[in-house]
Amino acid sequence: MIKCQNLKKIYPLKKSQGYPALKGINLEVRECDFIAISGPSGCGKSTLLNILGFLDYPSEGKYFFKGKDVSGFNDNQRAYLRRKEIGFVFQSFNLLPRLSAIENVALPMFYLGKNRSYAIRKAASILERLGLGNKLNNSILELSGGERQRVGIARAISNDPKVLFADEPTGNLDSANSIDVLNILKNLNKNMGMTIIMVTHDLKLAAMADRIIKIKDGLIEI
Amino acid sequence: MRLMEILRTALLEIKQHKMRSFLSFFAISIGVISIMYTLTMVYSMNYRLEKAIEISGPGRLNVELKKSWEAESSMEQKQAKDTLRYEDALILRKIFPELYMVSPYLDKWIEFSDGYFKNYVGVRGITTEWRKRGWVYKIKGRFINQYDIDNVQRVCVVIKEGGWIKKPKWLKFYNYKDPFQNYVKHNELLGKTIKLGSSLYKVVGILEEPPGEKNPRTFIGVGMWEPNVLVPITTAQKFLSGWSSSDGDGIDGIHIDTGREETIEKYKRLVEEVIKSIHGRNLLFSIKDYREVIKDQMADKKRDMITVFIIGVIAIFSGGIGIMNVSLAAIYSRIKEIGIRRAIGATRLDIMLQFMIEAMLLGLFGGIAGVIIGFFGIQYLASKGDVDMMMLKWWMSLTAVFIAVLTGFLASIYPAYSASKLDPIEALRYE
Repeated sequence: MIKCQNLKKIYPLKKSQGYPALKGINLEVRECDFIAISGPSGCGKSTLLNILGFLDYPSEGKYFFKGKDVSGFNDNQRAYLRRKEIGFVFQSFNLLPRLSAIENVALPMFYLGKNRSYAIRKAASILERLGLGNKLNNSILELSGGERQRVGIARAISNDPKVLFADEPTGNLDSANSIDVLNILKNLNKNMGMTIIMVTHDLKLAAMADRIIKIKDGLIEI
Repeated sequence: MRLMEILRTALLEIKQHKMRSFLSFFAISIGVISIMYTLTMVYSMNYRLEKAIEISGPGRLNVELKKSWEAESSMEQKQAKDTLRYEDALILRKIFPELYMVSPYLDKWIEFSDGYFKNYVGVRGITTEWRKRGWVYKIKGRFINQYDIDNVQRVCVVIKEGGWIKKPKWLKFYNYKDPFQNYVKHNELLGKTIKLGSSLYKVVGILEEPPGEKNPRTFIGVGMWEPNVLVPITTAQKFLSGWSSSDGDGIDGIHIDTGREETIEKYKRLVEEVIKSIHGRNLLFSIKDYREVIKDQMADKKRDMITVFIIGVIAIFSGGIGIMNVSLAAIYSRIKEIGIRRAIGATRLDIMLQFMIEAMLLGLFGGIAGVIIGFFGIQYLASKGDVDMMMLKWWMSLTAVFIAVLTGFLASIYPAYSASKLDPIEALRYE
């Protein structure tokens, strides 16, 4: 599903040579894997996730997604991959506060060109499955942290992506909600066959994944 | 992303920032109003020009006495003792028989009296050629003929206004009634003997104008002196006292129509030579292309129009800057949103479209508001008797709205482009 060869990311800095965030990552993720990436803050795990999630591009190295080399893709091609092939769950939810829960979930479907009634129906059914059936039209600001993250997950899976990226999905949640969110991700992985790549620094949560990849100073620790 | 969704988002954005949106389309509205005014004015002036030429004939030249202050030098002013004469017109007619019309005229402002009714009226001394151009009348009785002119007959023809089929709104506000026209309307003058100044005249004919709606003159009244009574030019010279712009036994001017627009320049030169050869340096005169005359008369209106137009352009421009400013401000307050949208799959084009459509909607709303206000404003002016403002056409509103939307479009290109250039990761991190 995902394969990285010697992936490097160097952030340009003034005068000096630049700060190397990733120093050569080799990684392979198979379909239906549930992977946790962990490591201390500043180790480059979020950078890796951004590159894998097509939000950022590597400075060096190759990235194969479904067998295709996507490291040289342009902005439009990346945008298309983001909307169709993957979903993103963020630590700070990143929902649009002016839209209702259901509209937030429908938004990726609009970008894919789905018509409104279809998108709204599908968004409603996803939210119902995640236990938010009674808060469809609530503003994001009226939802609790755990509910917001569930809306975030609903939005990420609305276009039935193959891969779900989660960047510290429980970072802003209490432990009960954290377990709840983790269970949802686990469920998506087991029952829907979604590949999940989650960044977390909480080793207890990471232990719930099939495989843990530890990163330190821009390299994978073996 | 579907257009409908972009529109929905844009409307939501405008609704949520009512004050900001209102301010940015306020200037656009003012611009639109003045553009509507300008368009109406341009259209009206062109219409008047066209109609004026249609009535006066295509090859129209006016030979006129220059006012003494129009002299190019004091020498010229001192030498000019001579005046245009009726004979000049006869000579021109003889030399250039191919001219369609050579019509000399002499205007007087004089007291008309019939029994107890007395009123000052404009009287024009004419020849039979007068009727060759601008004839929109229905005649009762007869017109002035060559016999009247040759024998200095004291006869006159009265011009009667046509009124209106359906009186326009603005006339209802405008209460002034010309007492002379009122008198003509209610008294049968044909065949009667009336008094002009101190001598008696027989009314041999009544010229009835068509109703205002059908009278092209209604719309070309650009400060033209219109007589109420016509008399033979020789009679006017001999018997009519009263105020006039020429003195002695002169005439005021000669209207010439070459018959074709192409020959205006040629005859302008030839006529000038002939008149110079008759009068030498003793006559201060000018020959004006009638099209120029009308344009001169419209010059004041044109100046007004240009002023309004400039105000409009400035307003539209500042409206555009307003929209640009609002869009830029919106981008800074929505960096996070842009990041989120990019992260869930929006392309650069999607983001650009979002901002551009929002700005164009601001332009559209401003434009529509402007058109509504402008429409009623222009209607109001028209109801107060501004003939130009009656020329408002529906396509002018459309054009004005289009310009407003175009302004929104142009003003949003740069902000939208900068929004689309934002790096999604940077944008997501922005708080």
